[in-house]
Amino acid sequence: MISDKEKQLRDSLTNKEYREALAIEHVNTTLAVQIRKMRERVGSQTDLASLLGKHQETISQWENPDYGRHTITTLKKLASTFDVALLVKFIPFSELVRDMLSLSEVRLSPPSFSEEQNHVQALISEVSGLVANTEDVDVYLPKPIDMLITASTAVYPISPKKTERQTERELVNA
Amino acid sequence: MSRCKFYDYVDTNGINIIKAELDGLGTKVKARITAKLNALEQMEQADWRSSRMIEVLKADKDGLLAVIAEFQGVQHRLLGYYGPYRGECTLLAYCKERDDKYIPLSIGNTAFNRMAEIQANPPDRRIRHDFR
Repeated sequence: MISDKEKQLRDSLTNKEYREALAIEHVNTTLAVQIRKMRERVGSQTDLASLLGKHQETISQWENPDYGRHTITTLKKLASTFDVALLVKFIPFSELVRDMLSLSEVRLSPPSFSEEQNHVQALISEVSGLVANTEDVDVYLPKPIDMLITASTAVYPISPKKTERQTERELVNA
Repeated sequence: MSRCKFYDYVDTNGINIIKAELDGLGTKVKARITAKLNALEQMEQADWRSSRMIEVLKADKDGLLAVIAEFQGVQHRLLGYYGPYRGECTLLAYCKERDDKYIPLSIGNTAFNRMAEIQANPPDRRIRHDFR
């Protein structure tokens, strides 16, 4: 079901000049918020400026949603500094609206590679603890690599899955 | 962890004044304001001030906030307040700011009068913000 807000945003795209402006402003706003939020994990604007060999005023500009003159070279440097991936791509306007409506905390403040790894490790420990505490000794314990892949999608099925061994046993019992 | 949705002031004739004001602006300014309102709605309210998209007003405008969009040296401002209900921010009036002066000068009074109208009759005097 489409929300009123989504419908309104889609309706507003019929004007070419407006949809182009909206796409640009969405990028400018989102980039500024992302840079500020990731910079806050590093320290002050001055701290980031020294890391990059820039002036504090430059960092302040980058964090200003009205600035809008970030270059791809700058964004690549920032991605490297914050240890996150930079993705620049062309998309249809329908996808722009979806993107505008999905500004989650993770989207606005993407974790660095190591933060993601730590998060996955914590999930693995948590899930391993849960599974180990179950009474069913035949419970399926996924290999760490499987768990890593599953946990990285941020959804791990807590209920144990059927293993091949279990399925075979059911067949024998039948 | 709380987010806030934007609402627009509606006059006694049922006209959405904020939409009318935004429709009268240039395409780029309107797009800039819309992108900001959209982003703010999805951010934690506690994060709004550091986003540099809003300013909490003081002195004779204490109790109001301004959503700010700067374009070609002119600050475009939508004045609003948190309310009438929890999780809502109602936009009351549009103005420009140049050299620390609001244009029109009386916009603060206009905003406070509209706020009082909304507080007296929330269902009829405010509507969910129109993102068109």
